Formats: sequence, C-alpha cells, structure tokens
Amino acid sequence: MRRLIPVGVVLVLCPLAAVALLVAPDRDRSASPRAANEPSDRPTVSDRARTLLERAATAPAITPYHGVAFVAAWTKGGSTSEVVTVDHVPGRGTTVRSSGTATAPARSLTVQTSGAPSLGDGAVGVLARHYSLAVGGEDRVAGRPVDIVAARWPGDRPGAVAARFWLDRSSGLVLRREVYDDRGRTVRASAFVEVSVGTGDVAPTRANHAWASTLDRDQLTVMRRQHWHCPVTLPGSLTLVDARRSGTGGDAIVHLAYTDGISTVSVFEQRGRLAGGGLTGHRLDSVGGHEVWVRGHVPERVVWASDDTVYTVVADAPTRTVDAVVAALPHYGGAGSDTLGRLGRGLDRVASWFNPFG
Amino acid sequence: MTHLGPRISALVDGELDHEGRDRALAHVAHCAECRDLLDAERSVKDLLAAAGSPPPPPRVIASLHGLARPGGPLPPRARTMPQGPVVPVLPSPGRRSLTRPSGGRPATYDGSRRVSRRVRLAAVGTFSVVALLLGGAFAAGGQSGPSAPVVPPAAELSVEHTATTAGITVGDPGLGAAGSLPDMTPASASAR
Repeated sequence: MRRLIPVGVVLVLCPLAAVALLVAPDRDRSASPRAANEPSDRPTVSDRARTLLERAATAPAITPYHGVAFVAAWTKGGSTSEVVTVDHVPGRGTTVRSSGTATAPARSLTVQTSGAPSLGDGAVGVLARHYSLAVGGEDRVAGRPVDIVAARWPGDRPGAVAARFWLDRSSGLVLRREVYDDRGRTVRASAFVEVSVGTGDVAPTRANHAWASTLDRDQLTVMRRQHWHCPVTLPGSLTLVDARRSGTGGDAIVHLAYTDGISTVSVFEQRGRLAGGGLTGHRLDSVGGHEVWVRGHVPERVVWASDDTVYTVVADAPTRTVDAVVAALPHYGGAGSDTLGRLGRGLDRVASWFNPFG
Repeated sequence: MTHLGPRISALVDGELDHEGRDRALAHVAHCAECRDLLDAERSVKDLLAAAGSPPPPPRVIASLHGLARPGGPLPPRARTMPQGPVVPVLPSPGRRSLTRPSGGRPATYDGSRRVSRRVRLAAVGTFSVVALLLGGAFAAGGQSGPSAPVVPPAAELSVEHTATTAGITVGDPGLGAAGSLPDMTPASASAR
C-alpha cells in the first residue's frame, strides 16, 4: 500500500500538471504578456519631475482656464487633427467645442472627470511605476514659460522617450503633451495655442459624469465567479485602476479602466450578443486572427462578442498596444458552441477562479 | 485566525448546517475582512437575483411539447433476471483459490500480479481525476443562457472613458475630452 501511494500520486499529479500547462498559456496571454513597449527594469524618478507632475495632476481641481488647442493623433487608419475651444471650471467640468469643418458639423461636449481612480494610485503614482521621469528643459507654450518633463522607458530602450509634458510654470497646468511609440514616432500631440488662466465658461448643469457605481476588488472577485472577465492587467503594462458599473441585471455594463500612466484603455463588458447588421461607423477587421468591428478615430474603439458577452475596447494608446489588448481578451465567438471551444472556455474560467491576480 | 474563504458563498446561499452557520457568523462578527467579503457576495448575488431568470430556449419548449404528444405503445420492459434454472456459482477448474492455506501466505499470491493491480488502480484513479477536471471545465464553460442582441451605446461609452481616464493620467481634461468629439453629433451634444 505504501508503494501504491507514490505511484498514484505521480500518476495523478502528472495529468494535473498537464492540465495546468494547458491552461497557463491562455491565462498568461490574457493576464500580462509583455508587449513591445513594456518596460522591464525599475524606473528612476527625479524628485523635481515628480513634484511638477503632481502639481500638474491637481491643477485642474483648483484652476479655471479658457483656451484654444489643437489635438492630433496618428493611427494605422491615418491621422486626425482638430482645433477645439476648451473651457474649464473646477467643480463644474470641462467643455470642449469644435467649430466644425466642411465635412464635420460643430460639436460640443462637457464632462466632469471622476477624480481619483477607484482602485489604483493617482496618475503620477502609476506613471512613476512604469517610466523614468526627469525634467528635460524649459520652453514657452502659448507665450507662457513652461518646464518640460520627459517620461522614458527604463528597460529595453533606456533613454527612449515615451512622452513629454510641457507644464505651465505659473499654474502647473499641462499646456502641451506628446506621446511617442516604440520607434520614436509621435502618435499623439495636443497643445494650447492660446490660453488664459483664471477664467472659464462652463454651464453649471451640463456635465456628463462618470458612472457613479464603483466596484472594489472584492466585488470584482465575486463577479469573476459569475463569468465576468475583469482581468487585473493587460498587455503593455496596463494595470486596472478603476472599475464601475452602469445598470443592473441584464442591462448591466461593467467598465474597467487601465493605464500605464500615459496610455489609457477602457474595457466594457456587457451581457448579450452583437445585434446583426454590424455597427454604424465601424468597419469589419481582423485583429490577432479574430474578427472585430473597428472605429479608427481617437479614441479607437473595437467591438466584438465572445459567447454571451459583448466587449467594447475604447483606447487612447498606440495601435500595437490596442491590438495586443484585443487579442488578449476572450474570443470564443464561433467556437463557442463546439466541444473544444466550451472546454477551453471552461478551463479559462476555472483557472481564473484560482488565480489570485485575476 | 482562519478566514471563511469559500464558506462565505455557502453562508450566503444558506448551504451551511446550523452549527456551521453559527461558527461562521461568530467569525464574521469579529473579522472585518470576512464581513466585507460577505457584504460584497451578498450585494452581487442580490443584483443577479434581481435580474430574474431567462426564459427557456424555444428549442427546449418545443421538445417538451413533443414529449406531451400521443405516441405509439411503450416498448416492452427488458427482463432483468434470467428465466432459466439457477446455476450455483463455483470456481472454474482453472481458477486459483483465494483462500489462504493454514498459517502461510496465499498459495496463489503473485508479486507481478499485485503490481499490475496497483498500476491498474492508479490508472483508474488518474483517469477519474482527469475526467472530473475536464467534466468540471466542460460544465463551467457552458453559456449562461440565450443572450439578447445588443448594440453597445458607443457615444456613452466614449464619454464614460473620457470622464474616467482623464483622472488617471497626467494631462489636460479638455484635450482628453476632445478625443470623444467624433462621437458627438450636434443633436446628442445639445441634449446633454
């Protein structure tokens, strides 16, 4: 009998290990694969850079302003740019107006930002965890003196700049911002061409707010058992920092917000299947071998259904990061009804129950 | 102190016996961590319960209607016992007796046969564990029911993205909001 136990243990553990190996690659892929622009070493952060950025992060909460700015983005679908008027009043929100062009009508939007993230550190904490930060010189933007802070990748490409911030020396506001991809190409640029600090015009009752119902980590753990995906990390060092919910029951939509301090990605999960006929304003595309609906404007939007869940990814991030995020999320669409698809999905779910990192 | 762990779910579902429930509630009274988990579990389950049960799929209803229709006569019940004369069960001539001779090891005891039996037992055990795992995974991989067609509210999701993410990166909220303008038609913008 004593000999039987080791033999049995070995024979039982071997298939268990095999099953674990079958599960592990999928979980790793959906949890935190290294993307091309993922840093690997500990970043170095200068005290002065951190102080300037923390001041910039809190400045909109105490400083009204009015200005004219340009916003430009480069994606695989092409480039876009727009000139907008920005008004900001603390406590009321921010109104952005576009005067329109020959092909696009005039539009406006007022939002009240949610403030501190519900799950993670503040903006500077997340940024300093992923990028080396240093003051990179002085300049002028819209006629105002600014300090430049550069965020650099600390690992595989030491010295390569991921983003630059031009910070108003007087108010601390971010007056210009540029983001670069892993080849050093500019992928986002925005800057004020005119700005007056201390005045703004926002109607008191027009603001769109973030969904009020926040989710904490315990609630997310319970929801994962109910087959909501809710990963803690995504490719590109993106970390879950905020989770919210809108609606209840069958109408519920879960919003998971991820960032590495520069890029932002929102993953929305919604029960149901995509209605037939496609999505207006989207084109059918393939990402990582999966069929998805894509809208190429910034923020990029990618929509698809996996089993009984519709995923919508809204991203302000380099295209390669967006593609890696989309590929890492579930895609059981066509295979959902066959045995292997169901088995793979089940192993994925079982693994998620025992994975403390989501 | 040992936390409740999976027993929290059983407590919410009323699956603990009287004594287990008392022990769990006594622990919850003194453990803030488990109390928070219990509240979270309850709130999510209440939320799910409020959603109601989805109706059964039309295919299942059609099958049930089919069963209710009048059909042909039932097939005769298979006989479970042989009708012939009862034959006493005796060891076959070639079969070795399992009885031990007085005061010694069994006369038919064979080492290789014992190992073979152990391997067989281990193989059966392994097969059972793997079958249980795969069966469990197959069950867990099932869909929760028929899903309704939905169209994601694109403009609302873009605004939600903007309102949330402007607070988690260093940048101007207005410049971040400008990214959502392509979703704003004049009508929806004025309605907001």
